[in-house]
Amino acid sequence: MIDIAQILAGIADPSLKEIVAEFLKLLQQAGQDSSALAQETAQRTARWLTMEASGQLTQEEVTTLLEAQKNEILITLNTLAIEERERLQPLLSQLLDIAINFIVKAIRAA
Amino acid sequence: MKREENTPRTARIMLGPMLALLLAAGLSGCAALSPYSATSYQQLTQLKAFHLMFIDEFTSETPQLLDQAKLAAESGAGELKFREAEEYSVGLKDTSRTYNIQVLHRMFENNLAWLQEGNSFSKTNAGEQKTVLQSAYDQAIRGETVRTGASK
Repeated sequence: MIDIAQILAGIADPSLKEIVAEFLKLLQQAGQDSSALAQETAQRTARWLTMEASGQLTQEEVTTLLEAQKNEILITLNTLAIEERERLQPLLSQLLDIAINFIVKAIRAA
Repeated sequence: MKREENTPRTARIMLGPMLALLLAAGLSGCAALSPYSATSYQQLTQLKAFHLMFIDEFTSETPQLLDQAKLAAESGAGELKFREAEEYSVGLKDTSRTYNIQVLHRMFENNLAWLQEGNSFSKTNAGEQKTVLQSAYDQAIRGETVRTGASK
């Protein structure tokens, strides 16, 4: 299969040179990120564009896939936020409630 | 790499500012996360099965005229399922749950719009669409099962 960098190098329009370079930089950055979501997004994006170049997917199909990936990212980030709230909210609320209701008074009385 | 294995680290990397806001909201007495809902979990798993089957129903290797009556029926059935799930979620008064269902609903509407424009899903496209959908639904389901009260 042709490498995505080769495909991008084949874009002849000079007015797109900077955009293509920026895209490749972002793609590499996402692919090297420690986040699995970023890596997965980079891999899928590169795969779909490669499939477009080889004629396995049409331009319109790739566009709908990229839009779907954007929506999946929204859900994943929201779920990560839910998970973090679920983990931290009780811990930190309990910590501060005990401080407010007991520890502050106990220190003053000591 | 499995996403679940990376979740806490990923969250710290990607959600720093967002997390600070969420925690500030939570600690200041704003609406807390609602606990696990078996009904919402069931609705999400049913929506996942329905949506993936919906893609299969309109997948064809060769371009062909769509069965408009079948499309209308499937569209109506899907719309009803999403509305039921959204309405139930709104009643639980937790926008974090409702948000995921609304985004899934939008993904269904986008797939529906593709068909309404006269396209079907090629086998290759259907495979890729379903890969994204499966991940999206798995994450939404995870958003339910990480809540207090879910069996661990």
